[in-house]
Amino acid sequence: MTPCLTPDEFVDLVDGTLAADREAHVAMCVACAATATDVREALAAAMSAEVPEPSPLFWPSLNARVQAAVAESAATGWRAWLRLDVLVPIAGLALVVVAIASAIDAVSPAAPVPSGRGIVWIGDGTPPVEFASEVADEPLAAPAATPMNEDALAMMAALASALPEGGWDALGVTRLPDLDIAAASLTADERDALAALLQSAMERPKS
Amino acid sequence: MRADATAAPWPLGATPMSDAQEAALDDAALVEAAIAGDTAAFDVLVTRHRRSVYQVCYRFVNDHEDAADLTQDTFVRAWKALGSFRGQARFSTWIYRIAVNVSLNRVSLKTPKTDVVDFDLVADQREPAPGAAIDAAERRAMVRAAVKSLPPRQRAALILRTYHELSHQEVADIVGTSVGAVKANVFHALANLKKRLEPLV
Repeated sequence: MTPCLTPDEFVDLVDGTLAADREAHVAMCVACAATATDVREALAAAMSAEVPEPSPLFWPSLNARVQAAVAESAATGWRAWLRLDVLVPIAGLALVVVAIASAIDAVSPAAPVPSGRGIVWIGDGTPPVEFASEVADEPLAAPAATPMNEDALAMMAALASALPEGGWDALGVTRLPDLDIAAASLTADERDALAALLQSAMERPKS
Repeated sequence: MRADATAAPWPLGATPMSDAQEAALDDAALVEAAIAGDTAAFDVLVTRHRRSVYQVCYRFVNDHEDAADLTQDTFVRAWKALGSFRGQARFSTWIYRIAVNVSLNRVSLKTPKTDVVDFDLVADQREPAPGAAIDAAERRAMVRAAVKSLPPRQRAALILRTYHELSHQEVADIVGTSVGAVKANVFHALANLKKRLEPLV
């Protein structure tokens, strides 16, 4: 006698896709025949259980709920990004990244590698990120000729005047190397937006 | 298919589509339009698939309010994830997958591991004896309660295969398993149903 049906084969049996020789086994095996009957009865019972039809008013109300939730999620998403307590640290971090990128760009492969180290310290308790040369304890070389843009200077002046003591700490940034270079690398619109953002943050009452 | 006229207008400024416009667009075109920000196109997708999504969710939770919440959640998640829909699968398969995941998450949060059907809760207490003269509505309620009591994977496989006529391969794609595992889950779901509905079946 051939082996009894596996669970997969019982499902194939009720689907009508079981191979003929395996179906023949069911006809000869009492146990498999009983199981097949059970499976068919359970399937018939399951098929009989329709989902109750909701009120006709439910469907348009469901669309309205989805619409409202989508609109809310869109608004919430943008609001979340526009919250200053989210944006300010991001802007501070972005400025640091720009500063690092600018400092790296300022060191051309052909130029002598500046000695010393620049340290950017982000947040409290976070170990400083170091980009150190082999020779330490010498002043960091001035970047190659990257003229300070007047707008950048103006922005820096505005920021500096607006910054209370420890203001960069409040932004999670304790030291910004070559910030002027970073500012000069921004577009005019980016500088305006960043200056407005940071000044707003400075003017925000402390909670 | 036309969106219900009583539905609130999309708050994001989209212009509702005419019947002819809707009929001319298949799901893929509607998805493309929705990705481009056309919320009216997404509303048409909601209208087309809301019943089947609601039924999947209802069979998981056996409760209208919960099913309505899950259906809403399914479509909101779909809206957020539309950008990741690349058309490899049909939209209906994709939305089923979201519905199943949303429902499985809800089930895992709310359902104890050993969920036992309490037929006293679904059977009419005025009936003299179990199995005697149970009317059709009560019988359906008992079966739905028994389906709800199945382990989540068995439930998902049974619901998608039996009630939504998806192939084993489609169910496997949705649930994220193999065809063999789907068949095994369907078999064990039916075996468990048989046991749990013994007085009835």
